[in-house]
Amino acid sequence: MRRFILIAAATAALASPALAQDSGREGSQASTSASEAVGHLAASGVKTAVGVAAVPVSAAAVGTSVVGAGAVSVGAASVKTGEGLSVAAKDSADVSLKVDDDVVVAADPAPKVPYQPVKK
Amino acid sequence: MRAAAAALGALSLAFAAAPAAAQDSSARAVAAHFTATEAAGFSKQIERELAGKGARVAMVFRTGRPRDKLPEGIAYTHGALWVHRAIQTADGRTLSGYAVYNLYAGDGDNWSRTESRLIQDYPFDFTRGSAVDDVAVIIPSPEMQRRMLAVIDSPSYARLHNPAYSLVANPWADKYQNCNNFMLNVVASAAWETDDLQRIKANLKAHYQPTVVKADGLMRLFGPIADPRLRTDDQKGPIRTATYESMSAFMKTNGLLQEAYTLPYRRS
Repeated sequence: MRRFILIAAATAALASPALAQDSGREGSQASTSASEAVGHLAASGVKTAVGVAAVPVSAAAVGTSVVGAGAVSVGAASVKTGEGLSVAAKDSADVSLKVDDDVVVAADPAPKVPYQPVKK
Repeated sequence: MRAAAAALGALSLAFAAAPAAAQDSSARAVAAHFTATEAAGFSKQIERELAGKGARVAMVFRTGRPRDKLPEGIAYTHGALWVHRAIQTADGRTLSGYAVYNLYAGDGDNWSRTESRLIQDYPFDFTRGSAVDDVAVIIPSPEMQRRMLAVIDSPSYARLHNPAYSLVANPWADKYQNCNNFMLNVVASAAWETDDLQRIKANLKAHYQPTVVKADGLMRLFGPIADPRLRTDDQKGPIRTATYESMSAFMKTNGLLQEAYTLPYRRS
């Protein structure tokens, strides 16, 4: 009981955040928005671009849009039959892949504007 | 065990008492470790190193908190899948590089803090959230990369997601999920070629040993005691969660790994 009380008191005293899995979007919601970050980087001479879609390299050639959840996704219903999409990965080891110099930044999230002005 | 129970009990008391408001803004402040230019440089460094190793899929981990605020045995707080892609840009170009596939919890503004969403962004967005000068990397074996890519590009990817979020979700259970648990599901889905969650969880319980958060680490771990994302009712006994350390050990033991390592930022 004594240990319990001590831990409770110490825990309550600790107000700093310390997360095991801080999957919050703190990185992309830091003091600058993505579009502001592009401006900062450009001012520093860093080549930047705003990414609008990421597609498999093989699909890019034929204009197919294949991304993770939340966007258009083509492919078969099971893991096994998804193989065709990933043929390019078969010989991945020891193959140097291309990375362009531009730093790609995600676009800002969709706008979220209240319909009515907020009363103060 | 008694100490863990005491600490959990203490947490539940403190939960009601402590203010919840400042947690996110504090996290942002710590994540300002890098300037935008440094974060950009680090992100490009990671991309080039992965590309040089031929990694079409990698698991990359960062910590959004300084190491001295983390419990023993846990060095990173967020992990995501980095996938080599053709990236279409707003100005009409197509670039080669990595896209990052994340599970993000809500911030309480755009969506609930106890709900997660699968969101794709880019390496710069990832390194901006780092509070230290390094990340950890797991490069799966070539066959695992091929299979994981197949999962990511299929409807199975969304099926492996449980939006009920907990900071310390138990990877053996499916009641809650966090970023690492989701990545572990993708790994398991690829390894056993199934998106049947019951089968995945049974296999993980048989073959994967989660990281056990030690009782003396609970105090540091559970700083955000009023955080609604701290849900532990999926845990029986000690608190288990998925980490870089336990996932790399699992993949190494089972021959699913090309390599796992820590990658420090090279300041120029």
